[in-house]
Parts: sequence; C-alpha cells; structure tokens
Amino acid sequence: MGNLENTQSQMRKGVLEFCILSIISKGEVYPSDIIDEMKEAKLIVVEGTLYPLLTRLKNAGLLSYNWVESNAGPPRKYYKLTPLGQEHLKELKKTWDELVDAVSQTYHNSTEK
Amino acid sequence: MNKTVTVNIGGMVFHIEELAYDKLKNYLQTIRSHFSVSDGRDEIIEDIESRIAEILLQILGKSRQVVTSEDVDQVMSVMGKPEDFAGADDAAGSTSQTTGDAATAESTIKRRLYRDPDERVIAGVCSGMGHYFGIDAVWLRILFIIIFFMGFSGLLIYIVLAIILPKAITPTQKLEMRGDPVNISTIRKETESPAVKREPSGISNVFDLFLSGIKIILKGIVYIITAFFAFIALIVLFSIGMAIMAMLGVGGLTIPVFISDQFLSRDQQMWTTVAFILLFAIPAVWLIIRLVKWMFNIKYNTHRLNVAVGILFILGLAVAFFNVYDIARDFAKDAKIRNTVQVLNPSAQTLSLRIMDDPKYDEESHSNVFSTRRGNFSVTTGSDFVFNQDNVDFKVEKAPTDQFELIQVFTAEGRTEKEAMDNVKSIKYNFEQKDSTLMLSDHFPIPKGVKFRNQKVLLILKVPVGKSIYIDESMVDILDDIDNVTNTWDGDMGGHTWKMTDAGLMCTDFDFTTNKTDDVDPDNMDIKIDQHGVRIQGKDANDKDKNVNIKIDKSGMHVKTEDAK
Repeated sequence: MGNLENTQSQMRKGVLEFCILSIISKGEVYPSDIIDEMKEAKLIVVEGTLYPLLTRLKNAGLLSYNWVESNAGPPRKYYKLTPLGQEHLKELKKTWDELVDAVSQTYHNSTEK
Repeated sequence: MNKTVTVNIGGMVFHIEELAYDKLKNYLQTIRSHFSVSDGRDEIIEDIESRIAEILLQILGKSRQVVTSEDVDQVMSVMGKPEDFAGADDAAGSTSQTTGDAATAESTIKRRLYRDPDERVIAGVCSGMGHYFGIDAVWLRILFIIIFFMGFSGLLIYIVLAIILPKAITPTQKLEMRGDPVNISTIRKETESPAVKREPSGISNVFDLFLSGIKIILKGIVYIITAFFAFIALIVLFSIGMAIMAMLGVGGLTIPVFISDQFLSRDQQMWTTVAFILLFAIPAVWLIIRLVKWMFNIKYNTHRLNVAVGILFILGLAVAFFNVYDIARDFAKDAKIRNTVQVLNPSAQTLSLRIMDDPKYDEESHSNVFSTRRGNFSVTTGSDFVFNQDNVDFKVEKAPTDQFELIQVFTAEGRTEKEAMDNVKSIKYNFEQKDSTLMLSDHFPIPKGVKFRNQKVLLILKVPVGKSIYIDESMVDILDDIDNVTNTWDGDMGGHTWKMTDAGLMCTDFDFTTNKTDDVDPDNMDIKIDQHGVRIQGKDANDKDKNVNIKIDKSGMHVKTEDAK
C-alpha cells in the first residue's frame, strides 16, 4: 500500500540535501526562509526535519553560520556555504544533471516503445 | 483557571500551562531520544528550542501571555513528528554514518521472552516464544501439540512456561518482547496503536482461570515454606542471641557464664563472642533480610551487604581459628603427681570397695556438660554451683608386700608446665576408709577460679596376694580395664568378691569360666505371656528385696521397681 508513497518520499529525501545547499548558495539565510521555500516546493512538510540536516551539513564543514539578533525572539542562526560547501554543491549539480538526463532518456525510451 | 509554570525556551521566558508544559517537555524528550550525542544532539535541540520560542512568540502576539495546550499542538504540527525528521535524516545521504550507527545500536537491544497476551491462543506462551525466536508461533503450537501427544509432557512444559514467563503487559514489555528499540517514540506508537488483538478463545479463558489457581496455590506453598524457614531462622537467631548474652554475662543466665569461665580466659571469652557474632549472628540476620526481601519481593541492591557479610564471615573464621589455637595451647603441657597412701589392712579378709555418697552430687540433678573419653564434666545445679570432674579411673594391681596400698595419680594440662602443675595441685580427691570398707569418690570438684584443664585422677589399688576385695556395683563406672584371670569385662565385675592370686584376680563367688555372662539369668527371671498380656519379673541376684516388674496389657505398659531398702 505505502509502496508508492515510500518511493516518493525516498526520492524527495534524496534531493533534500541538494535543494538545501542550493537555497543557501543564494546568500545568508535563516532556517525558516529555507523552510518556506522547501514547503512551497513540497520537499519538506515539517520544520523539524531541517534542523538535524543543517547541523549535520555544518558539522561536515559544508556550512557555516552567523548569529544575528532578532526582534521576534531569540537570536537567529544565518547559514551560508563554505568553500567546501560550494564545491560540494557543484558536484551535486553535476550528478543531478546526469540523473535528469538518465531519467528522461530511460523514461522517453520506454514510452516510445 | 489553570496553573502555569515559567519556563526558559531558547533563552526566552514563557508562562505555560502545566498540561501544555508536560506535552512540550515530552515532545522535546522524544526528539532528544532520536539523536545520539555524535549527531550533534544538543545543538539540534537548541536550534529547535529557539525556533519553538520564535513560533510561540508569534502565536501569542501581544494580547496573550500564557502558552496553552493548543499552542503546543500548533508548534508540534509546524515542527512535525520526531519520526518524520529522523527518517529524513536517515535517507539523506551517505554522510549520515553516525545515525546509522545509532540505529544499529538500537536494534541490538535485547529481546526478552514474554507471554504475548495479544496474540494468544491459550496463555500466549507460543506467540511470545515466536517473537523471541523470530519464527511464526504456529510452528511452536504444532510442536507443542506433537509433544503433548507424546506423553503429556508438552502440557507440563506449557504450564511451567506459562507460570514462569511474565506476561507482556506494558508497552515497554511488548517492545522488548518483539525486540523493538525502546524509546519514547516507539512507546508512544505502541500506546497509540497497539498491536491487533486476537480474540481470546474460550479455552484461553478456562486456562487463565486454571493458571491463576495454580499460581495462587504455588504462592501459598512458597509462603508457607518461607514462613517455616523464617521461623527456624528466628529461633536460631534467638538462641544465638541468648548464647551471646550469656557469654557476656547478661542478666540471670549465669550457668553458661560459669561454664565458659571454667574453660576460657577473659580474652578467649571475648574472642569467642566475637567469632560467634561474626559466624552466626550476622549471617542469621543477613539470612532473614534475604528471606524477607524474597518473600515480599522488595527490590533494592544488597550487593554491598552481601560482600560485607562475606568479609565479616571470613574475618569470623580467622578469629575462630586463632581463638581455637589459643585455647588449644592451654592444653599444651601436662603434669603429673603420684602419691601413695597406706590403706590399713582390714580386720576381715576382704576389703570392700564402694563409691562414697555425696548427697549434693547424687541427689540433685547434675547435668553433663560434655563427655570426654572417659567420664564427664558436669555441673551440679542448686543453691550452689559445683563443677565436678568425673575423670576418675580405678585399677587393681598385685601388691609387692602384704600391705594394701592406694596410689593416686593426678594429671592435668596447662599452657606451661608450671601452669599444668598448678592445675594438678588444685585437685582435691576424697576417699575414706572405715575399717574394712574403702569409700572412694567417683568425681572431684574443680574449685572456682581453676579452669578445666583435663584434670584426671587414676587410682591404683595394690592388693596383696591372698587378700580379697569386694567390688560394689557402684564401682562399675570407674573400673578401668581391670585384669583378671577370667578376662571378665569390667561391667560384670561389680557385685562380686575377687581374690588376688599369683596369676591375678579371680572371682570367688561366681564361676565366670562357665558362666561368661550373667546378662540373662533364667533363675532370676519370670516371664509370663497369657490372655491378660505380658508380664516380666526380674529379681536381683544379690539382693532379694530388689526386683523389677514390667507388665504390658490392654491398659498400657507398666514398669515398677521395688526397693525394700
């Protein structure tokens, strides 16, 4: 029953890291900004998902953050890519492009038959 | 109106209703349990808390001050279920090695054997075992049915298992039973959506009843046995307590104090007490603690207590060992005094030998404290305590002259030779001659202040050839392997007159060569068995006034001794 849902969520999760890095690559961002964008793209439904991911990427040296005072609550962490993160993103982009090609190629071939 | 608490979330102060607080705390706990320290758990929680603070501030706005349960629900819906974002992390990529480790660590959680009440047919033994071994319970059920038909042992095994195995009732137990990781989120899942219950069959209800009956009976038996042992332990403890109190000389219990005084020095008494406490009293208390603990199923760690009791016990052994060694040294050396007393030749040919009457010793009850190789150490109770040493032996030898002689040999032991000699000198042996009768004592008192050091008295009576002695029955107890020509046993020598010949003692009033034993003497016995019962009448061969009657009839058994004197 949940086979389709499962595959879909696996696919989404697979590109999660790529998408987050892409969003952050645009400049210093605050997690809830990332979430808004991700929610729009239907990649993430709940905010909780993001925090462990960000921590992991930061610990892997792909991200760094600055504390910024906030009017609406506690100080916020604004994330940006490290040079390593930018390198990483480039590689992911390449892989993604290859995947898109591979998928469209195989998919089109199979529909033509 | 609801009570509120003040909390610090992400560095901000919030007033939050108690219910809402519990909910939020639980939520954060659940999230926490999803991550390991190596995941950066603290940082994740910190970030999430900051975000929660932000969301709460947004929800509250300016008009409200208190966070309610609904607000927390809203936060939770924004942040999502912990399972969701932990799952996202798992699949996020190859770098999440740490979470993978955490997951395997969780899956190695021990599976435990329970009875499964949800999927049971009878008592849930097979389904529980199925979970444990990871096989379908059906196979186990089939196995049990097969064993059951092979001689009913299957039923017995099943009942035993049903009694021994605990039922998985709580969510934690159910998770353990299935080998699932136990943490807050799994427990919550288990509580929210419990496993599908199988309708219990009719047979299972009957079996349940049967099982609880057996359990009640078993529990009853266990309680009875426990109570019995506890009772015995209490008695033992009580007697040990009494013994210790007696040794310490506590109120009234003076007899044992005297006894220990008679044997042991002050130091030895103290060390004996210490050894008793360490070897018996403490283990007895410990045993009672264990029993009570076991009986009432009290759970607290007694490991330290066990170790302490063990160490004290070993210490007690050491104390006892050195004390016994020290006591043994009091018996290391021995000393001997030998003196010869002239016995006036009796006017008659025969010297009568009998035991002197000692009303205090004979008439008042005297209890033996312990037996040595020959004779006893005894204490006479009554108005005054007298300690008597019963180590008196009597021998008969041929005299070199025509004069009766009595040789007294006193021996005793001590720590040093001097001490042993002092102990010998303390012996006051009593005997008396009244013309042709020599009255000996079969015991001698140990004066107060003198310790028991195996004091002994050996009497050797030298009898000139041609003279006779009459050995009274009362002498039998102190006779010590007296040589005689007929090799007659000491016990049979009493009540007869013996003449010293060149060959040795010979009986003059009884022929021991043909009548080796006088145990059964038909002349002096009358046995009658008829419709009235059994009647046995025994007469004393030497004293016609003494006889014994034993009658067994329908009214019971009667024993009557007649003594005309």
